[in-house]
Amino acid sequence: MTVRGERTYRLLLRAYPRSFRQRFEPEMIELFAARRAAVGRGWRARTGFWRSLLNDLARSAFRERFPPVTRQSRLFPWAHSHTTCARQRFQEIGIRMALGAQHLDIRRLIVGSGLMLTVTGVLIGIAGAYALGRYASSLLYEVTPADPMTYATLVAIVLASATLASWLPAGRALRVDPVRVLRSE
Amino acid sequence: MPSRSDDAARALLPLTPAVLHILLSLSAEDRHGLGIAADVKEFTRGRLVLGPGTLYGTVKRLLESGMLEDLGQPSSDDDDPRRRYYRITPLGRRALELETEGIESILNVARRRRVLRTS
Repeated sequence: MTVRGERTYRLLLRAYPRSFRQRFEPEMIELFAARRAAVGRGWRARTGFWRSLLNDLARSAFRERFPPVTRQSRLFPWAHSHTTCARQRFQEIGIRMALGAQHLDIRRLIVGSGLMLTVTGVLIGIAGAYALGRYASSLLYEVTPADPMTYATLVAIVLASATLASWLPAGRALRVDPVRVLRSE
Repeated sequence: MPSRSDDAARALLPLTPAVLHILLSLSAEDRHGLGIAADVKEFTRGRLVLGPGTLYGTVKRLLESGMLEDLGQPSSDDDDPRRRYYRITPLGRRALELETEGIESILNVARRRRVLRTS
């Protein structure tokens, strides 16, 4: 037997990723049904129930769809993508090492590809910022929209963090045992 | 000297209110999700009502971090087959101990400074 609103709730559960639904949907429906059955008949009680349910659903579904990343990634989002790229290349690195690549070659490969991506992004960003800067000039105080020091500082921060974000996982990748990688292939 | 398991538990601190209450509920016995929600509502006297999304989202993260163990579906025929039972792991229990020790020390200061009047 289904309680009132269960079909609606089932539809709303589509807000969650499929893997989450497959794992928890039956239990969530059970909890929903228990809560719904305990709600009084009054209009106010029903409205309150659905309001808190939708609030819970919106917040938790958002979190499941877009899980919070690490503090480092929140501060430097580009660093997160570099770290992830380097991790995903562990197998490739293991195979290259098994074929005789030197540590310096591997490091150059990882840091180089990371920096290439960053430099492209920085150039696009500078062009975009320069083009849009004049629209923000009324919001700026004691600084011009094309202030070279601001541009230089931001570019330096982005490049330094991108280098670090590629350098550190490159070091970890170099400790990969090529034999294990080849076996897992 | 803190052990390696202590370090692992410490790395999971501070616990969010939902995590703290779920672990506290499971510290007494293994429960299914509905049982956890009912227990939390009871021992907080209705101050914390875990919604389905918050409850199962937190359970998922606790399973991933190794603080909970999924015991699977009930063995008894009387129980609802949709249910899955959860158990707190030693890591989860240690994290709970460390968190509640921290809360206790704060409460002691609050009592000494007469912020909290109950003993």
